[in-house]
Amino acid sequence: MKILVIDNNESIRQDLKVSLEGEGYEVLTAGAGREGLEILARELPSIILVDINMADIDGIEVLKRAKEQNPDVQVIVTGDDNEVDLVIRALQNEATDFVGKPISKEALAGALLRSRERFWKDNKLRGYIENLEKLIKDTTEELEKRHELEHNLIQTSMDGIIANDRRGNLLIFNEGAESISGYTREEAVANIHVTQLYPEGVAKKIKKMIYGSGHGGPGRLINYEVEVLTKKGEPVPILLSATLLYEEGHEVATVGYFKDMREVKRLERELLKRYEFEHNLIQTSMDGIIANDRQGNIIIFNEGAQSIYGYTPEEALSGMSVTRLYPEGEARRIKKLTYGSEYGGPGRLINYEVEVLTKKGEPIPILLSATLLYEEGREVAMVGYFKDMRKVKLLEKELIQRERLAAMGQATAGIAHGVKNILHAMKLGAFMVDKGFEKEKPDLLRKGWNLVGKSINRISGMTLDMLSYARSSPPARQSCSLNDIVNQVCELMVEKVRERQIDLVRDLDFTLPPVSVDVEDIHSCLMNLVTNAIEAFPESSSGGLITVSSRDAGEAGVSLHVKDTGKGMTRELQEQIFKYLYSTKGARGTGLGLAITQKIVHEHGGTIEVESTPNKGSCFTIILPK
Amino acid sequence: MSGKKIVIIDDDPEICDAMSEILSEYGYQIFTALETKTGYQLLLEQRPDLLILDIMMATMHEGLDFATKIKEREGVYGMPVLIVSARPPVEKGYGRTLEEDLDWIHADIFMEKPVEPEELIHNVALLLKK
Repeated sequence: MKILVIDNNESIRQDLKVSLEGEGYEVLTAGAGREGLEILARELPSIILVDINMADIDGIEVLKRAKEQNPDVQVIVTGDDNEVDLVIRALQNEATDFVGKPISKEALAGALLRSRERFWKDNKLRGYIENLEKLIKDTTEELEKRHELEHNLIQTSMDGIIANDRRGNLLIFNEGAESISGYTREEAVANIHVTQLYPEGVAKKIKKMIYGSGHGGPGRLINYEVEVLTKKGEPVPILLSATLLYEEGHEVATVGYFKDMREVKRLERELLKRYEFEHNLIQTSMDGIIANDRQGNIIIFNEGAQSIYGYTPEEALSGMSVTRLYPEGEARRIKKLTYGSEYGGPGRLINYEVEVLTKKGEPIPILLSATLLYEEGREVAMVGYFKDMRKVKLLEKELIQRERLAAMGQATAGIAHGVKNILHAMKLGAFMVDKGFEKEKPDLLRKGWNLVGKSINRISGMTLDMLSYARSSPPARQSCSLNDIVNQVCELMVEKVRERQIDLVRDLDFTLPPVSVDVEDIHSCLMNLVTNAIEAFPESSSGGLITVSSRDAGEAGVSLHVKDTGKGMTRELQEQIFKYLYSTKGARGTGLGLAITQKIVHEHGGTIEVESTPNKGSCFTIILPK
Repeated sequence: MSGKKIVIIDDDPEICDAMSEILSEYGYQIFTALETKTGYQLLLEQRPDLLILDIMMATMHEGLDFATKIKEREGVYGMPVLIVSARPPVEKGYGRTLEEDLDWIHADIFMEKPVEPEELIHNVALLLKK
């Protein structure tokens, strides 16, 4: 422990130094007050022993300054016992002790002991105080922080938070409350009574409910739907929760949490509207809409369904099974089809034609679409859309009738056209015959008669074609070689192609298996195709190539191809040529040739196709099943 | 023999032959064509006094379109055209009515098949007199 001795007297200083060092102190000495203060500031001694009477600065002054610098330092003042004033002043200035001069060993020891004790005590006390102060500061900060947090929480809560004291004066009024009520915090707190926030009488009722136990226990109110009044007097729907606050067992305030329900209410209204809309949509749909749950009970039965079935919704919805809507076994089949993927994928059924049974047991044609409804992954219901096809079926029938009439009209026009052309040639022929007789020109007569004869053949050919087209008996099949038929046709055409200087080439597959066909039918088909091929070359020109080939088409069957290098056809024309009575040959064509050919091929279960490029040629392909 | 030139365009060779035989009996010079392309060539070469045309040739519009064309061409303008036709059925995209057709070949004669040969000869003489 450091001890500073300040005394003008050199020998006293030395004596004290020796004796104090002997007791274990670290001793510093100063011969004057100023010097003592300098050492004091530098060395920070714990105890100072100072003479009260000094030349420059007296002991009292040193004491004062030392205490200012370090309140813990213990100062022992020495001096004359008789100077009572000075002794009192020293003690008033917090000197630890006063030791009279000459300094007795005992008095000094006692003073030092007291100084040491006080030094330690002061130090400890200060530590305590410092600790305590720090603790208080920390706690205060913590509390402040928490308060701030709570304040912010309250202030920034989306919900309105208000608190009022027992007299109903508002204490807390947060931003949420501002936005709901339209009052600012300043307007509300201390200026507005809590009852003003509600329509008349409501605040009282709420208070009663808070104290009662019916709404979340006494002292609490949970999720109570109520309307509050804004500053402008408009009602706003809120969900109110409230609780009483206590301090030391006394009720001090009521806190209310306002949940703004305007958006929720708006959504609710919208939802209701949409629900109603959908409900109306279902109810007023022209189609029948019927839904059933997993047990088969009907749960939706709209007006459309009513008009199809004749059941009232009351009848249908009172536990009627969906199976009663169909002939026996059909409901199960529909269910199976809906789960399967044949009609529109699993869980769906699209445009399935079915007959249903009305209340009176009448069958009605329906186009049914159905879908399974799921809720959270679980199948809950099946909805069926029933399109009444009675009118459609009726229209279909009418349409077929009308089409038949139109076809007949068209056919008649076509036939008339053909007949007119032939008659025209006949009249010219007959005229030539007359003139030949009259002018005795046998050549003219012969030519005329020839034309008449050809015209008669044309009419009979056309009649046969028409009969052939109209024929409804099945082909008389017999096993034969298609190559033979090709050969026969080509032989018949030899003369005709030579006239036109066209090469007719056969390219036959000799491994062709025999097929079962009506030989005459296929013969006339091939004749028709080869004749057409010849006519595909302009009459004014000569030359050209026609290839007739046969091929084994594997699983598809056997194929015949008639290919020419003639004028070809546009796509538009290709689409027309198989039509009944369509002709590109003017007077010479009946418009029946390809129609008959196609009819025959179809009757044989085969196909006929054409590929053609204008100015390059065409290729007709017939495929007949083996 | 007047020696007047007549071009006949008809895609039926037998009709062409017969008309040719008959009209030659009346002293006309006959040229025939089975299609409009060669027919037009004939018109330019022969500069005939009359054209007899079948309007129902290979394609539905061919005869009519051809008639329109030659009426518009300066080289053959003014040449009378006698049209012979089995009246075309109205369907198959052929929408122009006969009356409308006659409208733009107004000065000439339209004869419907079957034609009475005497009437044909009469009409030919009529048109060539103009």
